[in-house]
Amino acid sequence: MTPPPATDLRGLLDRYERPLIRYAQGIVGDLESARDVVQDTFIRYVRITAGEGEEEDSMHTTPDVSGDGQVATQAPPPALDASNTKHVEAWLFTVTRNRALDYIRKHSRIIAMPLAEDRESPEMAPDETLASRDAADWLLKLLDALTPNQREVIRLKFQNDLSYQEISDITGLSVTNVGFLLHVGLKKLRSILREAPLDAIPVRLRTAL
Amino acid sequence: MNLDDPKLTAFALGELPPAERPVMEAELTAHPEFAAEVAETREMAGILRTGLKSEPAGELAPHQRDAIFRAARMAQRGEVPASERPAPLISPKAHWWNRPGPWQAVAACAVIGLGISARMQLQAPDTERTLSNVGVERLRSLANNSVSGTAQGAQGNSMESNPTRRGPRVIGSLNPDLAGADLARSANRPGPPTDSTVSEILKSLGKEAGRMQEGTVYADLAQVFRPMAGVAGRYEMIRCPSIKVDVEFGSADGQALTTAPTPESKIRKISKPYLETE
Repeated sequence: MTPPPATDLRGLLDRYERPLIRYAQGIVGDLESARDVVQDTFIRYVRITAGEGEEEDSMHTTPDVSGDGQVATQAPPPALDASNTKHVEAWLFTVTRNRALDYIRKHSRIIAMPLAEDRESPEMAPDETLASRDAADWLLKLLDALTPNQREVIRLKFQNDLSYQEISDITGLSVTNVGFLLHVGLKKLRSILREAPLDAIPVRLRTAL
Repeated sequence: MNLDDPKLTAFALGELPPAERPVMEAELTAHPEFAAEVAETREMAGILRTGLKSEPAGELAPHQRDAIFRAARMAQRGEVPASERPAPLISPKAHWWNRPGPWQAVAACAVIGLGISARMQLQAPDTERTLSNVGVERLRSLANNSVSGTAQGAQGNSMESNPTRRGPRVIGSLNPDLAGADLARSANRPGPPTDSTVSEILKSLGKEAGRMQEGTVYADLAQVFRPMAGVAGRYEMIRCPSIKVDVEFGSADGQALTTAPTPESKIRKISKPYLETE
């Protein structure tokens, strides 16, 4: 397979760098490690598209124990068809996830949500940044009430607009299991929200109610 | 079907297979509580989409992007050196202070710094101390324990020491045949590069580098860093070229500057200082 031209690679980085770092950060817990994981993912991508074949991957063979004792399994990355955007997207997320799980296994990390100080501000006006950060921080605290598996599928679904099938491909969970985790997770969040006073909900999110 | 059926959530999120949708729509018409459940799920989905998409996200550092493009170029040529294998999963952290190589570079910078300092003291006029102030035995001991460094020490940019020798380690060029007065001055030299000394130098370098922040103008950056030839946006520290930063300057309208910075150009983004020894 011909490697992507530099311009395509740049476009790919521009499109997926932030979502992947955010996703990896949700698994490894800090921004610096998430960046390393994503750098590793892209280096694998350019090598595989250059025809160097799949490298050794402990992926999908070694289950990993997450913070609450649940088993986070690794899914084998799909065959990479660089001409198909959806394939590339699924491949990038799968490899990022596997590398992140490898990372925490090697360093005996517990899956943790990113700390506020680990998050980087996107390029927005100060007011906008503040409102976004406020809403995101509030939601992330809300997500802490969920299990790591529930959090992960919710992030993939609502942060990255992935379908049940795509989430299943990335996580190695069955489509039914993905649907169940989303269902239970959403119900739990709704019950928490129902009990929260309206003024505790950030203004930015109230408009979505 | 009951209220706890995941199919309700799947329908609310548009994930129910097309063949099952008519049945579900009939159920919602017949059971308002199901319809309310679907509506609430959609509201929650809206909150999550709005909130999670506004979660700030980090991006790769410029040197990490460079590494990816370098890997792409090498892969095109069929080269995959072991050194190109990403370090993050080998070392616990990508932080430079957790790797041995960079420390050697810092130590080199520190030793060079001490060497310059020692040399300056050796060359400085010393009217206070005379040979009579220093015991002959001490001088002899110093001479016996000293190591001859390379002559390059005179330029203050390369020093040698013998790590296997016990006793005082000599930074720079110190010859036992030195004239007495010179030797006496040498006895007043700084001590060996202890960890605390290296730490102080490192702290000083870090402090100096750390003053460069978003908003700092190019003229100020150029006092501490100089641009690296052939690598756009990368600057090396003048005092210790192994320490580098990646810098992006902004134009007047806040966009990334695509031309060479002027003295008034302001830093738009700057990486943390890192070590690169290649």
